[in-house]
Amino acid sequence: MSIKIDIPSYLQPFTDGREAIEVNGSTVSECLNHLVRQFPDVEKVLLAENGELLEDIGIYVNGEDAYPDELAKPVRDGDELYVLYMIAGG
Amino acid sequence: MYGWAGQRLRVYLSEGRIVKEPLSEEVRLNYLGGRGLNSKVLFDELKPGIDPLSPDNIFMVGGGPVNGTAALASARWTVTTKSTVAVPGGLADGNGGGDFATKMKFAGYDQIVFYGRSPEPVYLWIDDDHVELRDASHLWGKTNAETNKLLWEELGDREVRVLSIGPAGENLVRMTKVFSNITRSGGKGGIGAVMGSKNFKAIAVRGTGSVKIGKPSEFFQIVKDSYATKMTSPRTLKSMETGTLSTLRGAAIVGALSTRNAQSGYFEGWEKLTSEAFHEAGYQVKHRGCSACPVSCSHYYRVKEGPYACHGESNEYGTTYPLGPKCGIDNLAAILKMGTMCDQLGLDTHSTGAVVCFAMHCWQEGLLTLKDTDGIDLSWGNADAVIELLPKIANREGFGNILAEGSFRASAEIKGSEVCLKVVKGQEVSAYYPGPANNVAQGLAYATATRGADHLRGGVSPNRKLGTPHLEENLGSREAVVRLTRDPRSIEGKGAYLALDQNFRGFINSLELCTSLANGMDDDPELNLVKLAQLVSTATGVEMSGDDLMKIGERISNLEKAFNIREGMSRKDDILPKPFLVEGEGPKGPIGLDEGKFQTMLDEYYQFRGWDQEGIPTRKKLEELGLSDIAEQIGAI
Repeated sequence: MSIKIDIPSYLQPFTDGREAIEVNGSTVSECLNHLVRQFPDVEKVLLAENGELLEDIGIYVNGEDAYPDELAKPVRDGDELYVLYMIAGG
Repeated sequence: MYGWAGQRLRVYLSEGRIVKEPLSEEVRLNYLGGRGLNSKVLFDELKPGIDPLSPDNIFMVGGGPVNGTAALASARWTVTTKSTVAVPGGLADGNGGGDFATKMKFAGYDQIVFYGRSPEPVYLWIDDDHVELRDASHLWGKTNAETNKLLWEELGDREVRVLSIGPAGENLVRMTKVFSNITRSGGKGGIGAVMGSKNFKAIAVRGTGSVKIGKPSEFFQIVKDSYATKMTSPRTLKSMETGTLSTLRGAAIVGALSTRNAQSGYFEGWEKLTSEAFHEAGYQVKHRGCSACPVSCSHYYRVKEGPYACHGESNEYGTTYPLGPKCGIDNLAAILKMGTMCDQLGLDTHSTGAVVCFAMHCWQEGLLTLKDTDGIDLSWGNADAVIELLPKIANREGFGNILAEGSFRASAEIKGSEVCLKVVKGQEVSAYYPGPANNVAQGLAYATATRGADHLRGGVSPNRKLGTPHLEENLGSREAVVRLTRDPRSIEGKGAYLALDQNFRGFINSLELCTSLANGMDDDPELNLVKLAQLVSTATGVEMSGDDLMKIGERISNLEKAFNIREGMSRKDDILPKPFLVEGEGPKGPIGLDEGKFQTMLDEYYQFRGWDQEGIPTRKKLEELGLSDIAEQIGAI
């Protein structure tokens, strides 16, 4: 299955400047793991040491917020994922 | 009555008179409490054009209908007054935590309004039904910690809760907050100075009552579910460890970390200032929550030795970014020391850091030299200079007296410094560097926030609590909702989105639920608009829908806007500082927003809100919100 992950500008330094990456997987978790295998540097800005998403990362599937349990969300061929840093408060 | 205490205190400081009165049903149902209740009184009772530091100004503290209940994160309070920094004049408010609001509710009060000026320093002692003004001459000049300690001793009760100002508020410094639980603070626009101008030092409250719940079994089921979700959430557990400081890492990665007076959104030394760095250095002592909140996101810290030895509470993002990256400082121990000093002196870390970095920017541009600054070298990164400046600001000594006026007024004293000025409506821009790779709605939020540029008034990241169906209905299409995240640089739909986000925050702030909810970042996905309405309905016994709550938020937004219009503000004041209106490329992606695009976005925002092209609410909109009686006062057509 081919899934497209759109990469925002501020994460593109971790993906060799690529704006979009094609990955394979049937869940968000599998897709992100495939992304990390292609671009290992991106892991530190997406995932915690225990493999969970960092607390300030938002994942959107075809524009729909995948929260909660984002990593377990199923994806289908042709879906688009978008990764967003969620910052607020202070 | 359920939920509300149903009672307001009016305190006339000039005469030493105190009046208790019932809180009308009309006000409760239309404004809920806290922020809404305060904004209503401010509009209704303040004479336009008065000097905010004169006895004519009023100052108030308000709580909400779920304060004092078991509802999760329900311990907030709001203080409101006419701003000491707004130009030409405008609203100021602030929202804080701890457990002051809980005790105020237990004592039987939803709101306290202060008028006039006491001839001598006083504090208000509330012991349930007994309320009196007492001499505070022995508290004048004391820090917030000293004030709490003295009042606990005097009143013989360590459970008394205190809302106080520090010496900076007494000295009418315009970057001052109000503090509860010693370090839990709120107040943009110099609310501490307004208290100081009234010779009013503190409120001390002992409340031994309780809150009646309208539908107890349904209410407690909602609360129980919410606790269960919250306490099993990995993000909540992470929040316990990091507090709001976790934001610093994300802000650094997306280029939103305001650096060197917001000249950039990227600070090269950010990794020395993270929550991880804080824990690795062994600074944490323990963490603590507000009442009715198990998250406990606030941390006690201690720097054991060295020049920056200190101990305090709340090493937050809101203390770290303004005193750190904004001043080019990457020394965490020094920043903790500065945060401790601000809490004790009664200074707002956001605005004080902004004023200091404004001066450092002036130094960078050669507009200030040693002879102007009492010999203090204001080079970026000079932590010792900031530590030397803070008491000079609080006590209005030498160069500190110029900075104590806030950056807008200080700029008038420093020739050529307009290029360094980063204010909206006279209020320093806070928290996030606007216009980096994240959402352009943030810039619009800074420009339109009723209390001046403020990161807690919307737009930063998509508000999850609004929900896709609600957004789709209001924005007109699914594509418009998708654009919020997929196309953060697009201006289309951002005005409408921001209006909804601001309305949501309006009612959350009036319920006095935690800011993490207002941000839409709370990690209980079930606690959506529908569930929030059920929470309010079961607590108060008054049926309300999510739409009803959003309508209340909209009413509050309109009333606050009307207050600012009556003070002389117009469209020209809904604008960003010029440096943010130039598009370019920053280290993390595109920055800035062309002014033409900004104005188009502002047009959409006004149109969605039902305001005319000058940003004045139309008569039709005011009628829809039950505010037609104010139309004449703001020239609505």
